[in-house]
Amino acid sequence: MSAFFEMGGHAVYIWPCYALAAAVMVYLLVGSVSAMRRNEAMAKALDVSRRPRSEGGANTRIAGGSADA
Amino acid sequence: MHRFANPTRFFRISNAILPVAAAGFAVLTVLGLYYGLIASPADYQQGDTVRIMYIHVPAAYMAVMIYAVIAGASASVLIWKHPLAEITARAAAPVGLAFTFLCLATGSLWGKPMWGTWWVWDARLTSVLILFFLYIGYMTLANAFDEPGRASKPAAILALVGVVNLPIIKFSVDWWNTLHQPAALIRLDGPTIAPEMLTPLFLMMGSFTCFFILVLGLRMRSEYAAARLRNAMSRGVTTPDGVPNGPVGREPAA
Repeated sequence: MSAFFEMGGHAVYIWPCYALAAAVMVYLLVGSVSAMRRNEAMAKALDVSRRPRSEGGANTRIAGGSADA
Repeated sequence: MHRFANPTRFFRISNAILPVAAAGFAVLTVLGLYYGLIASPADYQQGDTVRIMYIHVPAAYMAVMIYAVIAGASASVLIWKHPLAEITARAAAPVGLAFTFLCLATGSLWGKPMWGTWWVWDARLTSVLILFFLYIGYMTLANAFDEPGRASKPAAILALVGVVNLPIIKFSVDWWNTLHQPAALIRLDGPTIAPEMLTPLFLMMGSFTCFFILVLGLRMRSEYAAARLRNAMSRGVTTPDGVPNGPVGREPAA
């Protein structure tokens, strides 16, 4: 088992490679999930705060027209 | 302008693909690590450092492929103005940057024991370093303007100009003298790597590809929401608690 971790004397180069890959990928995944949750929550808050103001807004939105003109 | 047009289809597709990509990533990573670290032999010349290849080569492959995805999406931004093209390019860039960093760092950790140096200014290493800076340049430019849509065109043009670097990376080992070994995988007469080493290599390439698809999907959803927020913010309408407020979907004059 210790021979496995020694990697023929090159452990000091090989394990940092795998550790770095794991760190970078975990960072990307966690960062992406949390950014998505944050942005989607804010976009949802935007929808909710908008709704009571303009009932007719939904139609003008599809038509691409200006809702507040 | 039909940017941010009906996203229902995109969400339906991404909701179907993401679990598959996540499962593929998990399975291929476990298999790839097993074959890469345990069930494959050490190299007769390089010893166990050959195991660095199972991270280094897939990372390099992703670095180049993701740039190609960004360039393709950028062409689509300029030609068809497809609603999701800019979102795709913006979402892919940080992932490509991360894999390019991983490629450079693992290459350095491989170079020290095998070449006796962490870094050398030769064609392959330098062209990949340029790719790294292209990613940074693209991301900086894409986020340089507050006004939504303003950065689309310059960023897309930068991404397309940078494409000339991709063949330079690929053929740098043939065109110039280099410490880096020549192509061993993608060559006309087939791979020159032993099958026992090809197995973990392909597994890890599959694993990284699934990872990219997974993270790209998540980041595209995130970018889509962020783009809506930016659009609302640019009209200067906010609620008292700072949440941007206003009719969504009306584009500022482009």
